[in-house]
Amino acid sequence: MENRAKMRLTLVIVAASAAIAATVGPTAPTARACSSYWNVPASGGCTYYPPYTGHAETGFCCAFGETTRATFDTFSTILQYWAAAGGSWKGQQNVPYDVYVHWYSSVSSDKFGCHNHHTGWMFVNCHHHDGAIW
Amino acid sequence: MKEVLVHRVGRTRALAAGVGVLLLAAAAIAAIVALPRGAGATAPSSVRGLADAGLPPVLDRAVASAAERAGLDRAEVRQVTAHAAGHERAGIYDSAGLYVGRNGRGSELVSFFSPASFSSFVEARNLVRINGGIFASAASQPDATGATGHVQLMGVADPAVGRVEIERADRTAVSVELARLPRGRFSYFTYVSDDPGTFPHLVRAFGSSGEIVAQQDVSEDVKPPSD
Repeated sequence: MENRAKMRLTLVIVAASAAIAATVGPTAPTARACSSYWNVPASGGCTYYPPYTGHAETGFCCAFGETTRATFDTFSTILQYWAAAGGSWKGQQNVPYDVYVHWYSSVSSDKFGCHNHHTGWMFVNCHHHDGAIW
Repeated sequence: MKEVLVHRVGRTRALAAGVGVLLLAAAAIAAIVALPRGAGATAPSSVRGLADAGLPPVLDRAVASAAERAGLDRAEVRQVTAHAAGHERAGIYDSAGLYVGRNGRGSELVSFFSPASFSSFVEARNLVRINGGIFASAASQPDATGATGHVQLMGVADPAVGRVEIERADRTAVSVELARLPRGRFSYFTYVSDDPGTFPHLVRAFGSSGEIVAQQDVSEDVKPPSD
């Protein structure tokens, strides 16, 4: 009888541990996928695309100038960068978070975004402004 | 018999001394190879007013506008620019460095610029807190193959910093010139490279007694973003 009670208690502990592990364990796959890519749609959410696909919300605008900014504050710095329409890398600059980066390019199809180079798990809130704000 | 023993002891001592010398020499060679080589050269910067910077007109207006937005008088803003022989053009502007000015409250404000971008103005005192004494913004652009081909480093140092040194990819080290505004508290430095062997890896700041007071690893900051 005593053995059966012990077994029940063990089962309860195992089940509870599994439930807790499921709750606090690795973040949902979407969040992880988002974090290693770049660009956040203006509407927010978690739709990131790797640079080489050319997907971006931060299409170049207005002949000269585009501004990007990341406002997350878990890390001290963020890479803000510049890509061709097809997604190939053209440049980047590492700045503290919440600092605006004003880009100058003469190619109207260029795109700009933010990349968290500290970890693949971080949600980066990257804003962009069509036409630079300076 | 005694003579033979003395001879043997003498030979053993000589052998031990020889081995010791060889070990010392090997250790010295290993230390020379393993440690960053001395900062023999200095990466210089030049300081000039915005009017003398030769910026393309549209960029000149943009920087002036950003400076005014930050409460700076355009006429007082200085451009601290990197100097490097053979530096390749990697954007529409052929240089990199910092725009520096002082606002009405006496705070020094900084904007980092690369051949393709410039940042909004930030207070120098907030920047140096990030790494405990220095902050360097790294910018990079690709070569023809898509790998990192051009790197620019633009930095700010706390008033307590007496010297800044950059350890490079090939483990050599170079001191950077520290530039200040007239009556300025903070100092500013630049470094550029188009050669992967001399790309910056680590920025070290030393106090007046030569002790390391802060350092920043920039090796990951200059790599292309990975997926």
